[in-house]
Amino acid sequence: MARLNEEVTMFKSRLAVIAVAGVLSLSACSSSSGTPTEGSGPIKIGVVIPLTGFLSPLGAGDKAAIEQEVEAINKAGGVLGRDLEVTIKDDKSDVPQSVTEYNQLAADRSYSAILSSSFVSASTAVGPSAESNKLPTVALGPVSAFADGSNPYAFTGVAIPEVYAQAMVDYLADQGYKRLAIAYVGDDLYGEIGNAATLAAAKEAGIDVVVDEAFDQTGTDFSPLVAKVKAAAPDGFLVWGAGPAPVIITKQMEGSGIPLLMTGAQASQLYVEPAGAAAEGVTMTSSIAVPGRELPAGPLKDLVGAFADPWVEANGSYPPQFAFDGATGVQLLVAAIEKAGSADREKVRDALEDLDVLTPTGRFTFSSDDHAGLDTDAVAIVTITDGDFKTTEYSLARFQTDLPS
Amino acid sequence: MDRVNLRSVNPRNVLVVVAAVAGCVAPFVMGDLTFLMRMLLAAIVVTGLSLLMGYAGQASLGQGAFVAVGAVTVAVGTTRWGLPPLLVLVAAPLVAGAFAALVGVPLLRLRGHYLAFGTLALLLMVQTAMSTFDFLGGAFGISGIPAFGVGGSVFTDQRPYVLLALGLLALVLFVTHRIVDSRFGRGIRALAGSETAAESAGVPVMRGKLVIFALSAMYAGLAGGLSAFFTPYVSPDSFPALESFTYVIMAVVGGLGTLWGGVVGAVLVSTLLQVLNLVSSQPQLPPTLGPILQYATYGGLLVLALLFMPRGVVPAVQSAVTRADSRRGRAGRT
Repeated sequence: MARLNEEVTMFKSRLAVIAVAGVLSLSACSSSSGTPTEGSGPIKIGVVIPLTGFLSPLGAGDKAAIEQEVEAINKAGGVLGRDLEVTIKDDKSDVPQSVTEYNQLAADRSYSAILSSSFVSASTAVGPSAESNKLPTVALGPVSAFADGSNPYAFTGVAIPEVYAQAMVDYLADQGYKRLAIAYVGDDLYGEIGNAATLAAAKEAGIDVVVDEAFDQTGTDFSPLVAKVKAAAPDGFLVWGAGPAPVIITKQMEGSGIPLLMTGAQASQLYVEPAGAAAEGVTMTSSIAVPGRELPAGPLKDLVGAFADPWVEANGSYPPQFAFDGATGVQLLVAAIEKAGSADREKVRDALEDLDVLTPTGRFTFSSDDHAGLDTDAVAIVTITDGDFKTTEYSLARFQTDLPS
Repeated sequence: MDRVNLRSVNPRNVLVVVAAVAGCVAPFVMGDLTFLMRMLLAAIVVTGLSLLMGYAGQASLGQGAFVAVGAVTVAVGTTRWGLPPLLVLVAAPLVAGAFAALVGVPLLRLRGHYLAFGTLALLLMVQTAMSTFDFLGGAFGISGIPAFGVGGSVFTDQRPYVLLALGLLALVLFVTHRIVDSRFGRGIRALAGSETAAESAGVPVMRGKLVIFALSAMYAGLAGGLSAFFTPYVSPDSFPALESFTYVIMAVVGGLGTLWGGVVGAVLVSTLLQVLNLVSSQPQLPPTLGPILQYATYGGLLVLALLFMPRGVVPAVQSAVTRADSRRGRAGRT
C-alpha cells in the first residue's frame, strides 16, 4: 500500500511536470510556423502528386515538368524578382496520404499556393483543407467539384471530365457513331463523373449507349468486360480510367475490330509503350498540347514549343499530357502571383479568380463562378499511329477555326 | 516495501521526466509535426492494446476498427449533424467503447488466435460498412471535417493538435496506471494467467475481459477522433489492416503488460519506420532497392528485438536497471 501511494504521488508530480510544460508550450504556440509569404526570400509553392503507387506515371510527368518549368523561370529572373521554390511531396496514389501531405504543407505559412494531386479523388478530398487554410490551390487533376467556384480557394488546372466527355461525343457524332460501349473506373471520381457526363452528352447527340460497366482500378484481368463489349458489337468502346487498367483492357481488346476510345489519362508514352501494338489506332481525347507539333503557327504553338523543346532535349521524347498539365499548373500560379504583385495567399487567390491567360494546354478564363477555365477548344482528338499521337482530320479542321489564342 | 524496490524506482522516474520533457519540447523543435502526431496517436492506441494483450491476455489484430469508429464519429458528427468539435471528440471514445462492448459479447468468447482473427475480421467488416453506406462516407470518404476548436478559438496550426494529443496521452497513461493498480486490475492480471483459476477465485472473467476490451477500444476511438480533426478526411483507406498489425508490433516491441510499453514501442517503431522511409527514398538509390531495404531492415530488426528482448524493451531495461541497482546495493553494504 505504501508503495502504491508513493507511485501515485510520483505520478502526480510527473503529471505536474507535463502540465507545466504543456501550459508553457501553449502560451508559446500562438506564433504560427514558417516565415510569412511576404519578403525577399524565395516564393514557395507546394506540390503533392503520386510519385509512387498505381498512378505514378501521372506524378512522374508532373514532377519533371514542374522542375523544368521552375528552373526556366528562375533562370529568367524568377517571379517578382524572387526565386521560385517548389517542394514536391509524394501522396503514394493514396487519398488519406494526399490529404496528410497537403495539410503538412498548408500548415507552413511560408507557402503561397499549392498544386494538388493529379489523382482526382485525392485532389477533391483536399478541397475543404484549401478552404480552411485559405490556401490557393490548383488541382493537377480534373476536379469537377472545383469547377463552379463554390470553394473560393480551389481551382482546377486541367479540363474537367465533362469537357472531355463533350469533346469526345462531339467527335463521335461527327463520325457517325450510333452505338457506344463505355467502361469506367468505379468508385473513382474521374471514372464516375466521366461516365455520367458521357451518358448525358451521348443522349443529347442521339448515340445509344449499349454497354455501361464499372471496373476495378487495380484489376488485372478484364476478360468478362471485354467479352460483354464484344458481344454487344458497338461502333466504339470508350474507357474512362487511369493507370495500368486501360493498358490491360487495350491488350485484351486487340483484334476485336471494335474501335477503342480513350481519354487524356492515356495521352502518354506510359500508356502507348506498354500497350504496344494493341494501342495502334486507338483514338483518344487529349489536351491540345499533346499534338502540339501539328498545331498551326501562332501564340499557342509558341507556348507549347517553349515547354516541349527543352523537354525533348532533356528526355529524348515528346512530353506526355501530364507534363503539360504540370507546366500549366506552374504557369497559372506564376501568372496569378505576378498579377497580384504579391505572394500573399489571399492576393494570389483573388488574382487567380480574375485570371485570363494562355497556357500550353489552352486559354484559362477563371471567374468567381468558373474555377475550371478550359473549354472543349482545349481538347484535341488524336489517334495512335506508329506509337505516336497523330491529330485526327476532325481536329486538324477544328484547329483552323477554333483554336485557343 | 523494501529498500531495493524504492531505489529502483528512482532511475525510472528520471526516465519518465526525461520522456515528458522530450515530449513537450518536440513540438517546438521538430519540423515534421505530422510524423510526431501520428506517433502520439499510435502511442494512445498501443497503450490500450498493451493493456488488453499484456494484462488481460487477449489479442487484437483489428484495433484499427475502433480507431475507424472514433474517426467516423467525428466525421459524421461534424459534417452531417453540425455538432460542436469538443462534443464529438468526447463522443468518439464513448462510441468506440460502446461498439466494442457490443461486439465484444460474442467476439470475446473466442480465445487466442481465433480472437485475433475475429478482431481482424471486425476491422474488415467496419471498412466494408464504411465504403458501402454513403452515410459513413461511401467510396469517396468524408472530407470537410472542420478544424478542432473550443468556443471561439479554432486550431489553425498543427502544433495545438500535437499538444492536445500529448495531453490526452498523459491522461490515457494516468487512467491505465490507476486501473492496473486497482482491485479490478489485479483480477484482470489473474485472468491473463489462467482464466479457470481466476474464475474459481471469484474474478468475473467475461465482464473483466469485456471492460478491458471496451477500454482499449475507447483509447483507439479517442486517437481516431483526434486523427479525423488533424487529417480532415476519413475513408476506409485511412485504416489499413497493416496499421493494425503495426500496433501489435509496437505493443510487443515496447513490452506487453507495462505502463510505458505502448509509448516506448510506438516511439521506437515509428522512428525506425520514418528513418527507413527517409533512407529508402534517397534519389540516388535504384527504385527497387528502396522498398527492399525498407522492409528487409524493418523485418530484420524486429526479429532481432524479439530474439534478444522477447518480453519487450521496457521489461528488458527494467530488469537491467534492477540488476544494476541490486549489484550497487550489495556493493554499498559490503
